[in-house]
Formats: sequence, C-alpha cells, structure tokens
Amino acid sequence: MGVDPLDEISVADILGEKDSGPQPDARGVRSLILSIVRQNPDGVTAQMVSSSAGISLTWAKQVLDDLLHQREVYSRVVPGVRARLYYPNGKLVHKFLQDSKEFGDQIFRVSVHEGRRTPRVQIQERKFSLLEGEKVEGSIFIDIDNVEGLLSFTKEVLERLNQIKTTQELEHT
Amino acid sequence: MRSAVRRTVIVVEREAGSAFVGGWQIDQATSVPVGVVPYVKSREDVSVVLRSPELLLQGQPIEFSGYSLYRALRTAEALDSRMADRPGGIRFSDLVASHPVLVSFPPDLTWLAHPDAVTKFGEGLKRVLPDSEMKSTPSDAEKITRNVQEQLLAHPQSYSFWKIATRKDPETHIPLSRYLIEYTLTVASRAKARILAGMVPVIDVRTPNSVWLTHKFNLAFADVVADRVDEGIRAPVYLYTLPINPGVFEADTPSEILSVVERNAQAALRSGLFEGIWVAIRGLPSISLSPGRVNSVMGFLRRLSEVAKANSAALWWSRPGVMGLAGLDVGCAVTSFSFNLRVDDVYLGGRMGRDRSHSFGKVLNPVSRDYWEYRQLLRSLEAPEPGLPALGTCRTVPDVLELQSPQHYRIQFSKPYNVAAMNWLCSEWKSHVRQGETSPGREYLQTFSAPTNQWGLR
Repeated sequence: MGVDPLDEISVADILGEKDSGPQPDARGVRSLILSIVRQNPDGVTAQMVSSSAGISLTWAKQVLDDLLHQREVYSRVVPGVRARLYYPNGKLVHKFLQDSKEFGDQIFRVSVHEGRRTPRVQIQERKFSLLEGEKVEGSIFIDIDNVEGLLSFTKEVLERLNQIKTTQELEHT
Repeated sequence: MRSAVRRTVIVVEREAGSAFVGGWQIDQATSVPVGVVPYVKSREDVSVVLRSPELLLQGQPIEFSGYSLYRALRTAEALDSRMADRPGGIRFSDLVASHPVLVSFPPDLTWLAHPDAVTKFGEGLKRVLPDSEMKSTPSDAEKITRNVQEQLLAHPQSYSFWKIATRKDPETHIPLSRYLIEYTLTVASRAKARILAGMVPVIDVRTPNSVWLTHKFNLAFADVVADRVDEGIRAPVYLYTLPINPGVFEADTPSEILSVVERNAQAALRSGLFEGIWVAIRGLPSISLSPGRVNSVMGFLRRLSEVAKANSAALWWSRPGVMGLAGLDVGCAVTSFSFNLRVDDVYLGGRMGRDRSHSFGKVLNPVSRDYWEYRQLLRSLEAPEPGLPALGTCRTVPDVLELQSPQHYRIQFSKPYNVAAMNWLCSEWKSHVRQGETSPGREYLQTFSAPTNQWGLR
C-alpha cells in the first residue's frame, strides 16, 4: 500500500518553516524581521534583512517602515555606508515585562527594554478601529531612573490644571 | 510535541454526574460561566447584540464565525456611533470588553465551498492579510486570495485544497496554509477575541488520515500562538479544534476514527499547548433522525469531556442549538446556539424559498418545547394570552412594524427572543444541576418536538 499524501504533510510544511535557506518561521514576517534587527545592534540594511529573511527587498522595506513607525526600530544614514541602517529600539528585559491596558478608546502598551545605561520603559499609544485593528499612534522611551520623576511631574501639571479649573469656576460665580 | 504552561483553568462549583456548573477562568480577572452562548454569523446577528446587550448574561461569551467577521465588523462600525446615543445600545468595543469573544471557522465553508461563501471569505482575507504578521503587500494579498478561492472552488469535498495549501510557493517559499493561519489570528485580534478555534481541515470517515492532518494543523496553530506569547505579543488562548463530518458517527457503533481523535486530543491537552477542545459536528439534523447515531455523538462528547476535565480544560461544542443542553449534561463547559437556532451548515449557499413567511425565521417556545413559525405566532395573537411565554428580558409579541417586515421581525423580535429563551433554559438547567440532577438537559429534551427529542433520555 502506498503512502497517503496526507501522511507526508508535516507541521513544518503547514507553517512553511525552513528546510533549506531562510524563510519566515513560526514567528511571521514582522516578528522575524524585528528579531533580525534586534540580533544586530550595530545596524542592518534593508538588503541584509531581505536576504536574511528570504523575502523581497520591497517587502522588507515595507515591514521596516512599519517597525519604524511603531518605534520598534530606528534608522539613520551613516557616513560611508550608502544604504540606510536600521537599529533596534531596545530589547525586552523579559517577556512578562510587556503588557497592554485599554482606557476607553486609547490603548497603552508598557514594556521594559534593555538600555545602554539603565533599562528603559517604552509607552506605546495604540488606537483600535474595527476595520483596521490595533494601530500604533506613537511612543516614548523613559530611562527607568526617570519614571518616578516623570509621574510626579505629570501629577504636578494635573494639579495645576485643577487649580486653573477652580479659579475659572470662582470667576464665573 | 512542544509543551507549554496552560493559561486557563476550569473551576467546578457543583457537579452532578458528568454535568457541572462553574466557570472557565481565562485570565486573572475573567471567568467564562459554564453554559450556553450565542453564535454570531451575520451582520444581522451583530445588530441584535449591539441593540439589545441586556439579553446577554454577565460575562457570557460570544462565539463569532471568523469568515463573516470582516462584514460583521463593518456593520458594527456603522452602528457604533448610533449605539452611543441609543438607550440600551452598546458599542462593539464595550461589548467585547464585557463578553469574551471566541472566534471559530465553521468547517462547511472549506468543505462545501459554495461560491457565494468563498467570495465573501475572499473579501475579508484580501483586506486582513496586509495587517497580519505576514505583512503582505496589497497586491500579494490579492494574489493569495485569488489562489485560495480558485483552489477551494476547484476541490470541494476533498482534501486536495489542503494538500495544495501546504505546498510552498516557488517564489516566496511560503505556503497558503501559513497565510491562512496568520489570517485567522489577525481576524481574532480584530474582534479582540480571547479564545480561538483554528481554520483546520474537517475530519471525514472516508479519509481516516484526515484525523492526523487536522491534528497537525492544530499543532501548527498552537506553535504560532505559543511563539507570540513567548515574544510578549497578545494572543488568544487556542483550543484543539475538531470539525467533524457526520459520516464519522455510525449508529451505536464505536468508531476507530473517533478513538484516534480522542487519543490525539488527550496528547494535545497534556502538552499544555491547548486550553481546551472546540468541537463542531456537521449534519446534526440528519444525525437527529437516528437514535443510534445520537448515542454515538453523546458517547463521543462524554469521552471528550472526560479528557478535558482530567486536564482542567474546557470542552466547547459549537452550534448544537437547543441540543447543547444534552451536551452540557455530558460535561461540555460551553455550547453555542445561532440566533435563528439553526443547526445545519453555516454557509449553505442558495437563497430563501418563495414562501415569504419562512423569511421571518423560527422562534423557540421553551415552555411548549417547539419552534414557532411565523404563521403559528400570528395565530397565537388571537388567543386569550397572546404571543410567547414571558421570560423577563424581551417582548412576547411583535409590534405592527415587525409583523410586516421580516428583517425587523428577526432583528427586534425573533432573534432576541431566541437568545432569551436559550438563556432561560440554561438558567433552569443550572438550578437543576445545583440540586443534584445529572441529566436535566436530556430530561427536558425528551419531551421536545421531534426530531430534537431524540437527544432526550430514552
């Protein structure tokens, strides 16, 4: 009895995992490219990403642009290197140090990344729409030493806002 | 097989035989109550829940058909602005925040491949792929979609589609199956789904090896989900997905194919990669005509629920409608029902017959234990106590506009009443289990109109 072709299909076939040469693995193209950039803190070009991920240059550039917009990576033109180089915007300290919380229409993802001097907290603002899903609006990085200070400063500004409101209410009465 | 630490757990409050009441803890703050849940297939169904969220019980989950989700979300978006100002209405994002969503992919679409259904699926696939982890360009997404549609239409009721789908594209080296996995995950994230059942091949008796193909697709899904979690990306909990064709269930005969399914499910749950089992059985209307085949289904569900319970995992039976009460008796944690209470295939294709009264749909009368057609409801309006029994959460008679328009009747009367009736039955079922009754669902169903009564105690 011959082998049923269904028997020959493996989990690796379903996922399109590599058996020779680089192709996107179980992580998906976006995650794969992000991990390639993270593994190269000295910077990579789109061409290097394209050949390392086994995808076209246009495709690699499009995903890198997306990652730039999400501030997962940053890029710059280095004198002497003709192409733009892409750098990781920090590596997660631990997978559990990344979480999202929804506040009405705003979603904030807070994550802790390795930094040059101290770990850095990234706060990413996301918006959710039914037809487009979650989209990154922007993000900031704060050195961990400055987190408490920034929180106190934010509270200070909010107190000023309350004072202004109170003054305005008194003026109206 | 890879292994992982499970994220969810079943908490049993009270047990009577195989039946139990309690919750399925899917994260620290969310527990899904054991019982019945509504199944959203169409834009109309979404309208019903957004207009009348009070029909749902606290924390009650909702099951969505992933294939129709893109269209359903377009409707939800259009309704969102109106719902904010409408008394009693709810916005989609608020709905899914308080009612955990499961996204599943009914097996009939890929098995039967009705052209209408394949076209609609393609619309969603084309738009979702560029946002998936594969980050396809719009033109690539168009090509992939065309390829999927052509292969589905060319190979109905066979495994050729899946064989072709797992072949690597000569240029990109990525198989269609990979895009389909990413599509399902992206669709789930659009609906903010907390739970996912995958798009996997249906198990068919004529191809015994289909059991293994389904198993491998499940492993592939679990692998991708586990990788997402490892990378700190939010991902729904994944259920071992078992879509089954009716031929697998022979009258009173233990089937070898089902034994393999049970063994695979056991191994899958032990790996920790799966948080439970999702099962969909096609052809329930024909199975219901044979007491022996009903016995086979019940035996299978009982054995599967034992596998789930031994691993503190959930067993979710998709779309058995009122027959789901019998499933709860044998240990299912959740069973879902469509808003029109149909239990046949989701994507049947074709159009409604000429009789306009059929377009009004049926309403479940949980007290007389039968389904009321539109004409029967009209007759009841002349009775001393007109309409359906009062259940507390919805109207018992339609208004004048609803009696004239099938769409208004369905959205504002029959579908809301069906949800209320199923929830009422489930609440009765729970109170009987709390009193120690082992088969309250089957006891109720034995006096239901035929052929549903085949699912009752005999």
